Amino acid sequence: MKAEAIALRIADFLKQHPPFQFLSQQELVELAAAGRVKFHENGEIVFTAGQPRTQYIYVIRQGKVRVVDELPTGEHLIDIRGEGDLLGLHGLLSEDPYLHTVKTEADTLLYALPKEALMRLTKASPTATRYLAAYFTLNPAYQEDSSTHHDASGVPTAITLRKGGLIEVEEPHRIARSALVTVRCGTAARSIAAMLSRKSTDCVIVVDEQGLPIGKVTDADFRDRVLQGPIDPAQPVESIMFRDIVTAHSSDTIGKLLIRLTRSGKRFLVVTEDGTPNTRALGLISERNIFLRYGRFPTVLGEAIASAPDVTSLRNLRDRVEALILEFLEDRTSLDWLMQMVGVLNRKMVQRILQLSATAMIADGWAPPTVDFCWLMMGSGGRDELLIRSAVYHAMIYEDPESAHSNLNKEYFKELAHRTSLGLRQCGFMDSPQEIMADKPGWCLPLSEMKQRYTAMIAEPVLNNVYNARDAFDFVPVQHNCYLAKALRDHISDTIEQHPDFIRHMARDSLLNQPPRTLFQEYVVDKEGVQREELEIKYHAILPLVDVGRVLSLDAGWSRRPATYRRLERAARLLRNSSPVQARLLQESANAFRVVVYARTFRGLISGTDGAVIKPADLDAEIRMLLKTAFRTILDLLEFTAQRYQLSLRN
Amino acid sequence: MTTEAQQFLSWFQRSWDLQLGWENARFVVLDTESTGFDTKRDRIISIGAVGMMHFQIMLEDSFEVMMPIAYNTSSVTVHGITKEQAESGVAEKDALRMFLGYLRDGILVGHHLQHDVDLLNNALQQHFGISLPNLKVDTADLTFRLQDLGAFADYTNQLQSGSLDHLCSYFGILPHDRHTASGDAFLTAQIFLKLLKRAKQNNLLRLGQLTLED
Repeated sequence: MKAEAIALRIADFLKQHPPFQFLSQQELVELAAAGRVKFHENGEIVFTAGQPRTQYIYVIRQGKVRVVDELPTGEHLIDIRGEGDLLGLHGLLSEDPYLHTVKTEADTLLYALPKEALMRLTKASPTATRYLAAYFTLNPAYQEDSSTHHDASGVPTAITLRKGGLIEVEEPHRIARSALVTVRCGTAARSIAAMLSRKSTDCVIVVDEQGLPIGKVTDADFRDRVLQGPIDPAQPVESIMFRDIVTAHSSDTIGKLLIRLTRSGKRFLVVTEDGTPNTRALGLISERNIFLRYGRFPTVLGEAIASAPDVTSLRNLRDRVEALILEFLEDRTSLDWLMQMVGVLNRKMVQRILQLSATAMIADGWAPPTVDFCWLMMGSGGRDELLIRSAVYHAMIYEDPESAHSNLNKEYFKELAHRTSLGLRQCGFMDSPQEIMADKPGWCLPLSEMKQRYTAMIAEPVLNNVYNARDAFDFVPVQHNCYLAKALRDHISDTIEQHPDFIRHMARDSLLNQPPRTLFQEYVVDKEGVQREELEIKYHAILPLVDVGRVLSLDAGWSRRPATYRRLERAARLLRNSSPVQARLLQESANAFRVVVYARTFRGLISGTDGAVIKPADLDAEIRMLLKTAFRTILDLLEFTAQRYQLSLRN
Repeated sequence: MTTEAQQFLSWFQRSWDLQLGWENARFVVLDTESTGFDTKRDRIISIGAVGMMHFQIMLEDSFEVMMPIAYNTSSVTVHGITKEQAESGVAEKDALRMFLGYLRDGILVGHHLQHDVDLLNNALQQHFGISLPNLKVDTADLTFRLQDLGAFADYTNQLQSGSLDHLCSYFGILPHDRHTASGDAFLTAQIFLKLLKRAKQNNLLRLGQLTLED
């Protein structure tokens, strides 16, 4: 008889970590029972690159190791791994010798699990398979078939019809309060029937003498247990209630409520004073009362934005856009679609602010302009990557007026830019730190002057501080197909052709922000091995990808679909035949971009910040693992960029 | 003598050489639970053991058996137990037979091992008329011998006593649910792993340098 007690405690540890968390207890016990336990003192080598693989995959139970490459120039740190991390997982894919050397950095206890059994068990579990696929392809291979969410024209199809819902950001506790129906414990079960029908609710919360929630009865529970079930209706309500209630705090943000609801898989959240079942029940949040009150689809939101009566309601609508983003983020494969969809909504919103401002100006006695104008969204807004309300970049250009009207027009557009910029601020967007905004000097100009401005930047990038204006090279007009925007874009490409050094200058600038080396548990590790709690994901992960994407796009003269992941994927397609290795790197970079945008948006929305700085401790293990690989990909992409433009990457 | 006992003893005709290295030897880390501390009167309730080889705890080479016992009766006899058996566990004789089949000539390792060995020998004498001829290593004893050699000079904490709890905290071993035979055997095996590393560093390379003298 094998010692099952030992296998059980190993299984208890394993089930806290992916991919083991996706396996059943019984499968884990089976795996552990065939395993081994190894111990290494600090400073020992677990295995060496090039050494033949064993038939085991290792899980760190206790301790810490460094994954390194031993180079003639010294040791190159690849990763630091600790409790719950895996070693030698590549053995699931291949019998090749070990790729890297692993050294212990503390006394380290390893569980060795038989490769064959792990392979068999994970294959049978779709979630484990998905996790491993993500682990191996750096970034999710399954993201590549996200095209299934789009038809040939790129129009989202089935995805918009999924279960969806929005909660009004305004005072969720008010909805919650009106939906709460409680019954004191000890009440006869039969009286629930009357409450369920009279109060037009489908859930009654059972409270004790102090008003603390102890259980719930839904109409389905009542039907199953009393009408068709074994329980006598004269019994107290406790005999039919379910105790598995999920609670929420009355001041919880919509993001948290939405996540709790989705994550718990329950249809109800009980709102209590302090968010635990130990304080009084104040309200009830249910899927049903949310859906009944609020639009479910982005199309509804789009219509609401286009007809919003004022900026205040636009701000509320943008809050609802964020609630929708958060919900759709649950499925990371919908990120591409989400960025496009939110891009559409953002443009609708700016357009509506422009209309409202123009209307107000007429009411204030302003004469309408004599020429056409165009509002340009720049930076992340210009690339359709503006999910969270971070800094916005924008500019306004207008047709060159005849000289007689030039002053009148100039004043009008200045005022319109001022009011519209203010409207964006009121909607909760932040100011661009580089002051690329239509109400700042130099960003509201007639077309000819704007062209001159770009000519100067391209011809004399250092003098004109292009580094701080690089976001102005990504723009999209809020009105579709605006000829003014096209004229500016053509001018930029022509000018760049005359100043080929400009691309190299931009390439050099794109090497300035580098990713951290890795994550270790909850810490960010730089290449010196220093550990920090916070990750500046915007500067160290998003910007390098965006900057390289922009350089490749300007170099190739692309103007359509400026999203960073599209630029990188387009470059990957171009290189697919001539240099498959680089093409793969570019494809992986596009996936890395999705991962970092996901992590930033998700943490930002949850914590109510712009997500520029996040804490790895707040991320789940799978996302941390994806970020680690993303960092490596970004570093490789910067190396690639440096080589391509004959620059050197500062190490 | 039964055939099982003969078969078991035949393992020792050619067994481990005390003068040779221990790295390839099969250790069996053991713990038993009993009704009390009197090895003459008290009975074994359960045996848990796990094999060790090449600096690895081999979970596929592990053993666990529970014997039915009336806990509160100190005067139960062997025959009484077999009568009361049936509900749960394996009768003592069967359990011991299984254990001998698992143990073979493995080198016994345990924390204050002599107590477990005495209990086992007592029962083995009654059922099979034999005692365990296996080589023995005591983790408490080995810890103190290594300490005398200065093997733990780099440790910052103090070893307070030779109890299993203290050794676990001294060696930084994560405690689990204690006080099941196989749970304690697993903890002892982790201590033994660490001791073997230090034994090697301190030139205790021959098997005879680890074992208890009879």
